[in-house]
Amino acid sequence: METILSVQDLEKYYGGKNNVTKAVDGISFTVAEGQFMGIMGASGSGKTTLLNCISTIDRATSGHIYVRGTDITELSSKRLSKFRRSELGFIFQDFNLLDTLTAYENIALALTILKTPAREIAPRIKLMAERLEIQDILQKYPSQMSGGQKQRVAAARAIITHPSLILADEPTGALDSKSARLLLESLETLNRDLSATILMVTHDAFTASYCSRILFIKDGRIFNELQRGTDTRKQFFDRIIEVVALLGGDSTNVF
Amino acid sequence: MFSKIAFKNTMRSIRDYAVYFFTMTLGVCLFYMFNSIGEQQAMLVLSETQKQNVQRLTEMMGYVSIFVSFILGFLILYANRFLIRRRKKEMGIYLTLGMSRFRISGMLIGETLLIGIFSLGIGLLVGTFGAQALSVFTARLFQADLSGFYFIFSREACLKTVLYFGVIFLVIMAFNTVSVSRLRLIELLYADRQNEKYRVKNLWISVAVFVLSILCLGTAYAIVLKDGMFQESLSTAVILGIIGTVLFFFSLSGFLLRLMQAGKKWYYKNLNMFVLRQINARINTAFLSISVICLMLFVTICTLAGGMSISNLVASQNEIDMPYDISFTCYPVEDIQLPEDMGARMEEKGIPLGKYAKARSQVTVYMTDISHMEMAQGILNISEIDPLVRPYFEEEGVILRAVSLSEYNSAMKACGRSEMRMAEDQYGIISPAISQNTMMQDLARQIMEDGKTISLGGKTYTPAPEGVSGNSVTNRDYSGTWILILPDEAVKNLEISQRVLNLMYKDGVKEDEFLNTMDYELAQNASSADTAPIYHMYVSRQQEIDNALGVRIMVLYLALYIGIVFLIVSAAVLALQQLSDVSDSVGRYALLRKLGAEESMVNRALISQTAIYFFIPLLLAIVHSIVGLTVVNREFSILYMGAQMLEGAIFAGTIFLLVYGGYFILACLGSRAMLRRTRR
Repeated sequence: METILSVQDLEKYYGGKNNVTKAVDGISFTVAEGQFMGIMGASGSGKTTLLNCISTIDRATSGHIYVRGTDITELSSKRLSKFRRSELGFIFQDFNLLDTLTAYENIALALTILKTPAREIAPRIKLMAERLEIQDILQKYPSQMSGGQKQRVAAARAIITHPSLILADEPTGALDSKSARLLLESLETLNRDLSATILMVTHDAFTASYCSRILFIKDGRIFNELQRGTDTRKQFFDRIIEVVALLGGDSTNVF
Repeated sequence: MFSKIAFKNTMRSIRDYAVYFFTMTLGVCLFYMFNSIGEQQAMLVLSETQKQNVQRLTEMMGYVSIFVSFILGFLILYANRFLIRRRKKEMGIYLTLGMSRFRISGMLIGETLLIGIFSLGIGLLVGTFGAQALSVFTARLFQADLSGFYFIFSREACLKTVLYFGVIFLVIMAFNTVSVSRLRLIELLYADRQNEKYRVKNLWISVAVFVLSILCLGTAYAIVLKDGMFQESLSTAVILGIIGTVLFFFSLSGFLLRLMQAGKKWYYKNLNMFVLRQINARINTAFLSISVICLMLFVTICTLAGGMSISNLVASQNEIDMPYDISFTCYPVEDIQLPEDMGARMEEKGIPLGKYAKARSQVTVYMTDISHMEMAQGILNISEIDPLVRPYFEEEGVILRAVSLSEYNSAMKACGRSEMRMAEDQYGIISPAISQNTMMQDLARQIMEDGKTISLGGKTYTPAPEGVSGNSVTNRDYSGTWILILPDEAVKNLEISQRVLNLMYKDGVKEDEFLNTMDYELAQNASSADTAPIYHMYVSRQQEIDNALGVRIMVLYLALYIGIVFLIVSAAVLALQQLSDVSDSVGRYALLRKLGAEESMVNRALISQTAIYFFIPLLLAIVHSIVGLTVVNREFSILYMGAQMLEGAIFAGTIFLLVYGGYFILACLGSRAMLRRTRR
């Protein structure tokens, strides 16, 4: 399998000479094509900083990030925009849909930014909508949708451009448990059927149990790593809880 | 300490303050310029009459300034409210840190004071230079002489400006203090989370309403164009026009959206979709204010263009023939005898005409029983004639007056113009051009070429060859009605309409001196036994020119003053609304960037949004103005495009571009800065 993402000795420091905060302190890992990878950690562990660096929203202090072999820490800001729109897809905790656009237009926006020819847009959205079961709400505005529907629209927007990597930052954070489960199942489907590579940040063990591999981060360093292997989700969840207990963070049992 | 925080904060939010500052500075500058007009004229060479006119103008500007200060005051208050809203969170943080409300309002007062002093200073500085430029412009436009160019600073206007704007600042400070005392902490801290609910509107309704608005506007235009301004239907047209404008902006964005969605290729290109939706979202809530702004721009354009044109009309009336330096007129009143020789009668009263006049001529104007309609019978189709002179030719119309050939020729000889020759049974017509309009003169020529004969006292007269004269027998004959030139015999039995004495001054005679001498002598030699009049009125060429000049300056300056103030208000409100809209949708733009839209793409979207927002109201206002000015022009024939008119139009256009374009650029820069600041 091809390596999609490779992070090498990534460091991100905040602050000045005398009071340095090491938000990310020498993290290295790789993600292969088709992996559904989770990053877990407590608040302040540096997981969001890590994601921001990978998503090029923030710049790393040192180290390298390769996406399909390109070192994105060395790109100019113009190339970065191009990289973002063609290689990355985003799913945010608060959906980040434009409330002035319909669901259809929100999804189309990702394509128009990519300068996709207009005639290709409709069939691609139709296909994606079927896969995520949002055909019925395409003409609705975000204010007319439920949270779960919004997040699935956001997922559709993230994946319609066929990005190399989908970055999800606490995607279930603002959803009720039923919607969360629906969304995660959709992500799982996308991962399985389209072999989409997903990198998901979460602090929720249940959400994390949908991943195939999980990195645990504490104080800016990798603390532990779990592979799901052939476990059932229940078994995997229990193993996650053990690590989380070790981490001294979240320990909610949703089963 | 607090003055330091206030100063730092003001500097930091200088971009937010840009529109506010620009508005204040422009206001101060304008206010000073138009209030210093009186003193600025010290540069010009002025006669007594002109000085009186300047005095009147100064008074007028004083009254208008009160009105203007109210408008500017409200505008500044509006801009201030926008700023306070943007800084709610900042103030919330101060409050949580334990700063007292008293100190916060103190800080705001400090800021207002600082901005106020700066804008007053800069406004006055720019205004002083502006006033100089205005004087030069005035001198050029009205061909007055500059007695010498020197720098004038009007203390009075300066004090007045400081006073008026000081009051405005005080009101704003009071307003800020009240609004700070009313703040609730929870609202302040979450101020940026309250976003407007986006109301969904059915696009097909927009299309229907849009069609309706076009129908309304079309009907309004048709009514005005057909019926003109002085019919009762005007009010219907105005109401339809207002409704049409409001509906137009209510539905425009929805309609455009529908239209563009049909053209998928364009709609799904770059950020077009986003821009259109963004505008649509805002116009849904702001259509009323945009309609008001559009109508205000319409008024502005009409005021500026109309002011230029009316002032030009006044100027072109100067071009009515005034061949004499001064003409005195007597009218027969009841049975009082007119003096046989007006000049002799004046000298009899002690007025030394010979000392001042190098030539004089007396003309008696008689009334005939021939009407204009009778003259033009068979030549003129009444329905085709210009509405200005149509009344002359209607049933019961105006009759022709007449002068004798010898008196006419003596008047021509006195003012050095060519005399007329004709046989004993011929007649001529006097028909001077009015404001370069030779319509009546051409008609007279046509009638004479047609060989129209007239009969008076049992005798028949035929047209004299070359019998049409453009030379008046008295100064300033406004009416443009025809006067016949008849052989001396023919007028003998006609009724007298008026008697005129025309004078030509000797070289170097000052008119003011002559008139003073005349007044003095007449007062000295008055006697109650006198019944016959000396004269009833006089028309002096110089005074007429001066008065016309005065009216012209007045109309022009009023139009400029009010027009520019309206312009500032419309543009400033648009800019502020654009800025507040961008600050509300900063998150949307940030998302575009996260989705990978390039900086240049986002900027282009922002600028096109601002441009559409600025130019759509202007566009409709221009269409309104074209229709409006066409009608006004037809009713008054005032839009006469002379070289001076062009100069005025360029001047007004430049001002328009500077003010409107200035605000447009400020809005673009301000919103871009806002996005850049929230990038991280």
